[in-house]
Amino acid sequence: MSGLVECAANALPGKAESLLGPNHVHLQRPLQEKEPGRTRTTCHKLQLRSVAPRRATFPRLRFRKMALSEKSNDELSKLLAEFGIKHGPIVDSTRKLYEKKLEKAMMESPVKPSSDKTFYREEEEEITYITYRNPIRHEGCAEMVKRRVHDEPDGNKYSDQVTEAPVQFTNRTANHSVAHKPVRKSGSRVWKAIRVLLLLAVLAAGAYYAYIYLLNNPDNPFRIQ
Amino acid sequence: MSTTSQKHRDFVGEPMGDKPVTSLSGIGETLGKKLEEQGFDKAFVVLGQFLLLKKDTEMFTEWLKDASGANSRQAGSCAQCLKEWCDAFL
Repeated sequence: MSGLVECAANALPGKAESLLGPNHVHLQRPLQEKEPGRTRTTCHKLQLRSVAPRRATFPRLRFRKMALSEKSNDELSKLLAEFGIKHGPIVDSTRKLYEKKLEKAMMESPVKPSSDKTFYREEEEEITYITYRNPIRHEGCAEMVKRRVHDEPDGNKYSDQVTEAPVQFTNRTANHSVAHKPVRKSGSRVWKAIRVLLLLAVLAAGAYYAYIYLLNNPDNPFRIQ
Repeated sequence: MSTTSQKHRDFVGEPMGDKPVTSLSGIGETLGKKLEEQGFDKAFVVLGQFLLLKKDTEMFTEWLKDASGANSRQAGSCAQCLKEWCDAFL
């Protein structure tokens, strides 16, 4: 009721009162001041309650039904093929039948398997990232890798570190240049890249300190300069 | 062969030519009229629809039930009739 009054008040401020009969519709008003859009239709909605009951179809199915009849013959053909329905040419006389078949098939399996694609993509990204890392490690000596792992816990093997120092630097740069690419490809792997960089920085610092230490210790038989 | 009707045997036994749609097995007066209203006034037009559906009896049965209001038995009989005619003459 209040809605109706509001509506009337908005429409014609002067004549609001005359229309306050309980079931009065606005149709009796003259058409002079026709405000675009608002008033009449909204008032109708408020007034009329007896709307014909709609069939309880699923909204998704109804949307699909409408969409199916708007599709071209080629699109229908493709859809039929997707659902694995063998079909002949889609002509006037056969179209209705195929639309029905598609509806049935859609009801049984409503979701197209498109969500898997993103999942697959993530896996792909991971795979490419790994392949970038592996060849770099192999570029330097295979021994280098093992020794690097041992470097951190063992500070005693100076002899090993001497030969490794220059080689490590070059490898590090190589690593850096390539390590960037996978980071750029997949923005979600930022933390992994940062971890890798930190590790390399620690190794570089360790090598640097070892180098300094060795400079101060001329006892070493290996040449250091 | 023993389960088929005389109508069926008559139809399948020779080329259909210009036979009316009511000569098809399973199609009587009522169904025949409904089909004629939709433009299927001769048996060969119904054959055309059968061929469009790639001679698939299931699909054709579905279509016929929808188009003419035939029940499963009648539609199935018509489909079978057409299929055998095709096997013989097509």
